[in-house]
Amino acid sequence: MKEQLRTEKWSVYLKQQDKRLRVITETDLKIKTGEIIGLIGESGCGKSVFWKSVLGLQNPAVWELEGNAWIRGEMVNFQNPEELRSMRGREAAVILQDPMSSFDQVFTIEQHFWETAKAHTNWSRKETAEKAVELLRRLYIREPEQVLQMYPFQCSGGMLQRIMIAIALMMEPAVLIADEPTTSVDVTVQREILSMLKELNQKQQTSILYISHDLRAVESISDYVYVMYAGYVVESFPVSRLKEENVRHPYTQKLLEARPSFTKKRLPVLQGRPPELMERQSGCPFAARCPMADEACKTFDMKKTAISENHMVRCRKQEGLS
Amino acid sequence: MSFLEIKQVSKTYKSGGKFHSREIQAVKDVSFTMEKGECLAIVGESGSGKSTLGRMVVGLEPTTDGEILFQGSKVWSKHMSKERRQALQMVYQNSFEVTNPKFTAAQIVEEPLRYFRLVPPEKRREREQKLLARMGIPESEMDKKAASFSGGQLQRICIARALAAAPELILLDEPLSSLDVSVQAQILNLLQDIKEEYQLTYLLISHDLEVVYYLSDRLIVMYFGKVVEQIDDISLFEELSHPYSLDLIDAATYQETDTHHGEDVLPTKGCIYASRCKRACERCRTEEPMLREIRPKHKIACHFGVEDEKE
Repeated sequence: MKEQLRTEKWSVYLKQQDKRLRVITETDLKIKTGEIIGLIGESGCGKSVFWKSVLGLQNPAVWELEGNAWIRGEMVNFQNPEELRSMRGREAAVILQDPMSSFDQVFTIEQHFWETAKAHTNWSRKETAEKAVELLRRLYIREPEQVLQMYPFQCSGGMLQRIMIAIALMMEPAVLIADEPTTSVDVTVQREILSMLKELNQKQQTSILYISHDLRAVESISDYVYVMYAGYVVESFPVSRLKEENVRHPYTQKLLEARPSFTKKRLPVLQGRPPELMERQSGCPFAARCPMADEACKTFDMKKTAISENHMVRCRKQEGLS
Repeated sequence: MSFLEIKQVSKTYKSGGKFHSREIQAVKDVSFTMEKGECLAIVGESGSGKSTLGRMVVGLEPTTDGEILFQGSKVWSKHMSKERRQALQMVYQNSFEVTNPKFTAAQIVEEPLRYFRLVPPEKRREREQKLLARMGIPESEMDKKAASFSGGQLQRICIARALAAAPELILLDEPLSSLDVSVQAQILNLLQDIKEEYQLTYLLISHDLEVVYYLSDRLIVMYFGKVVEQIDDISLFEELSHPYSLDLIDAATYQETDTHHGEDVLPTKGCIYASRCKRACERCRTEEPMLREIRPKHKIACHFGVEDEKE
C-alpha cells in the first residue's frame, strides 16, 4: 500500500530572540492509502503545529523545521513557495473545527468552490459548479444547486462542515486533514460527520488524518492511532488496542478513564496541565503528572520501546514489559 | 411556592420586513418547576430552544407567552431588581468570549463584588483570592491577564465570578463543550463539589448526555422548542423511550447509523419529530402527541410512548 503522507524524525522549533523552543520532537508518522489515522492530543500538544508545519504553512522567519516529509511519495520542498502552494489544496486538504470561521461571509458557497478550482485547475466556472453539485449531493445535501447560491451565514454548522469537506475533496487530495472537526458541534451532527468521513474512506479510499482530543471519536473512526503530549508522540498503536483497553502509556490510560460514561461515581481526574513551551525541560514531559513517575523519569531520553510490531510507546516503565 | 416555576412559556422571534416577515418559534409551551438544591438538565441539539429557555430563566430575555417565577415573583421586568440579578447567575460555553482579555483574574471576579456591593472595597481582594483559590487558581496567578490562561483555567475563573455574586441558581450553558477531555473531568468534579458547599441550584443545558447523567437529578429533552420527554429522577435514565432521546443516546455512545438526514423540515401539523422518526406512522403526521405521564416521574410526548404503556 502506498504512503500518502509520511514524516521522519520531524521536529519543529519556535525561534525566540536567542532561544530555540522545541515544539515538536522527532515525530515519525505515516498514512497509507485508504487509512484513517487518529491523532489524539489536547490543547498545546502540538497537533495543529504538526500538520501546519508539514504543509509549509508557517513563517520560516519564526519556525524552524527538521527532518523529512513526503506527500504521495514526493519529498516536500520547503524552499520553494510556488511548489508548496500548489501542493496544498491539491495534495492535502484541511477541514477545521469551527466551520463558520473558515468561510468568508460576503462570498457565496459557489464562489468558495471557484476560488479553490481557479487556484489549482483550468476548469471553467461552469465545470466547477457542476462538480460542486455532484460533491454536495454525495454528502447528502439537499438541493445543492440552491445551496451554491447561499451565503455561509444562511447555513447551519453541520451543513457548513459538509460543504467544507466537499471543497476539500474537490481536488482529490492525497490526505484529508481534519483538525477537531466535531468539537464544536452537537453530538448528532458529530455522528453525521464521522459517518460521512468513514463512508468517504470506504468508497473512495480517501486517506484521513483525524485529529481530536475526543478519544471515543478517534476510536470510532481510526485504523491506527498516535497519542501526542507536549510535542512527543508518546504512544502509537492499532485502534483495536483502544477497544481492548490495552494501552501502555499512563497519559493514554488517563484519557481513557476521564470520560464520565453514564456514571455518577466521582471521576478519576488527571490534575494539573501540560507544561508550557517555556517550562519544558529534559526528561519526560509527563513526569510531573504521572502516577508511575520516579526520579529517573526526569532525565529519560524519551527512547521508543516496541511493545509489539506496530505498538510503540515512549515510557521508561514499559521497557521491561514488551 | 416552588423555587422556580416555568409556566407555559413560549418564545417567538420575528424576522424579515413588512412584506415577508417570518416567525420562528424557538420555545413552544414549556412548563416545569425546580426546587432548591437540585440540578435539572435540559438536553437537545442546537435549535432545540434550550439556550433561549435558559436566557429567559435568568431574565436576559422576556417570554412571548407564559411566565417565569423565581421564588414567587416574576423574573422579567423592565427594571429587574439587583437582588434578582444577583440570585441568578450564569456560566457559558466559551470563556474567552465572555471575559475581557485585558482584565486580570482578580478583576474578573471583582466585577460582581463591586456591582452588587457585596463586600467593602478593602475586603474585596481577600474574597477574590479565596474564590479563585477554591477554583484552583493560586494567588500567584491572580494578577495575570485573562488572555494568558488556558480554556480550562478561564472557565474556572468564570465559575468564581458567578460564585462571587453569591447566587442561588446558576445557569450552566454548555459549560464543558469547548474544553479538552481531561479538563472536562476536572471541571465536572469541581461543579459537583461546589454545588454542595455553596448550596446551589443548577440549570444545566447541554447536548452531552454523559455529563448530564453525572451532574443532574432530573432531565428534560427538547426538540425544536418542545419538550418531548421528561424524567424527574435521573435513575429513570434507562427508561427513556422517546425516539429522539434514544437517538441522542445512540449518538453519544458512537453507535453506527445508516440514516442520513439533511436539513430538518418542520411539519405544520402532527408530531414535530415525525420527519426524522423511524417509527412514524400516519397518526404521527396528523395528530400532535401531548406531553403525558406514562409512569410516575416520567412524561413523554409520543403516541407510541403512551400506547406501549397501555399494553
